[in-house]
Amino acid sequence: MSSPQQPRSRLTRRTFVGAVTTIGAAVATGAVTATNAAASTSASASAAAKVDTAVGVARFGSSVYTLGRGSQGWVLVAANGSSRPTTGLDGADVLDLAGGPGGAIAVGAVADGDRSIPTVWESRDGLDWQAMTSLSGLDGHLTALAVREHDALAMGSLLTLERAPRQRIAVRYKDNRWEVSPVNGLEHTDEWTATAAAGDPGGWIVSTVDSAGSVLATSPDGVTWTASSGLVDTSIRSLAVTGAGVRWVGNAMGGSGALTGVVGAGRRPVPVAGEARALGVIGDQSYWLAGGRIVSATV
Amino acid sequence: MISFSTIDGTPVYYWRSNRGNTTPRTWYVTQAFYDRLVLWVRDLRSLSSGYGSVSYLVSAGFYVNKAGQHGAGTAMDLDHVRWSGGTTCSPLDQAHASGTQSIRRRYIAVDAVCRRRFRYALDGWYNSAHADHIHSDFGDLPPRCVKGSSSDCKFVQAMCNNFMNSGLAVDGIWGPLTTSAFNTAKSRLAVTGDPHTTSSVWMSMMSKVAQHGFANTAF
Repeated sequence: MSSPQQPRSRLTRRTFVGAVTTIGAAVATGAVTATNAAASTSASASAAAKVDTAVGVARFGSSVYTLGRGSQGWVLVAANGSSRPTTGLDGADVLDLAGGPGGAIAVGAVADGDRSIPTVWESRDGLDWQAMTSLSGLDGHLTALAVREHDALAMGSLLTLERAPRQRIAVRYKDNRWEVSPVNGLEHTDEWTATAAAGDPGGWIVSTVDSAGSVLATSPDGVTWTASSGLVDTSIRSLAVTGAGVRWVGNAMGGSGALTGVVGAGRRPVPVAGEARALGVIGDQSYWLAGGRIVSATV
Repeated sequence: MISFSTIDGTPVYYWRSNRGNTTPRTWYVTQAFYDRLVLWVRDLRSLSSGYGSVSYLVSAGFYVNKAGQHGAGTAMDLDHVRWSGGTTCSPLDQAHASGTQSIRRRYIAVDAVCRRRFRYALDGWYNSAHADHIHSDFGDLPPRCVKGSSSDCKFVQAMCNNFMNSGLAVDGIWGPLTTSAFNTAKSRLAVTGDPHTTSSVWMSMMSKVAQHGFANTAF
């Protein structure tokens, strides 16, 4: 496996406050009227642009954002539905988003003919994005991202010609740089898609999806993994470490219904529209894309 | 995306959490993909009419919240087909690896019907992740046979072994033995034209393979 091209990082503790201020101002001055999205199961702002797809959630200050893709490319969408265009994501297939100590991190791939290059982007304000690492020698994508206070872990796959996963890959942010990280113990997931990841000081957890449901694995160091539990008929799309355990949100595979639960403690439906797609969970709030708009629900 | 519970009137069930369950499910795909599914199920009905009508289908998922074609609402994972006469084809039970030739041939027939309408059909020979379903998606259309595709090559090798006793290794490598067996298959099926470059030729060849598979006859 080749090394990533010119690992860089703009994420530093020093820029964190500035990023929060900037992104808050961007939304406050946006043309779209904002409404309070904190209420459970509330559809977001009526004037917001609709998006075809959205990925991940990230908190900046007191607000939560996702990245959505519509007719005009990638936009930063607030939980209240207001949206702003981004730069630096042209040609990107963004597949996950998380807040980082210096702003936001997104992962995915950039198309390169019939191939795709696994890529990590960073942004201080959620609007201006810059590719920080591109694994240019590889054909694959990064699909799940976890961020802790001082480091981050992105999981993905190398892809076959038919675009099926064939080998697990990981990229780690540590000591102010992104670099390819070894992965041991996840070989049984090589042909499955990683869909969610989370971390806390005690370690990491990742979810992969096969044809039957989600399969979870944990790691103390992000390198050596141990298979844990699984969930049939569930595609977990976001994980969050909470005081009550690891909270997840996702969709049923046999019909796409909205689901949530705590790892090891069952599941329950989330009262959002049937076609709502899980974007993420932060604290006790979950975020969904329904009818092209962002919806939140308490979980 | 649009929702559906049937494809052109044929119910689609979900068995992964409760085998045999016939509770209607609401699935989601794009309109364009649904339109292609309609063509596919009509092909299936027509080519397998000797079994009666298609009573129901079982799927492991269409739109699935993950990266790739499933996440775009442009993929189907097929678990099971049931006909009114009682015949079944069950990728869920790894029919491709059955010890019974007729079951393997029927699996290849369903696989071939998928390949008529979808460029990427990933089956039990492709890799272990697809041992229990046939995945079909919208990638890289139109349908054709690409020698460099492991999916296409393994399907051709399995097809030649099961209908002509070719004795090929199902390894996904298109070498001279696979070329020779494939040319023999083309000749015996009276296929004219190039299935590698002309979609209509490949689709016609897949129809003929499906007919032999459903009839359990060699070629």
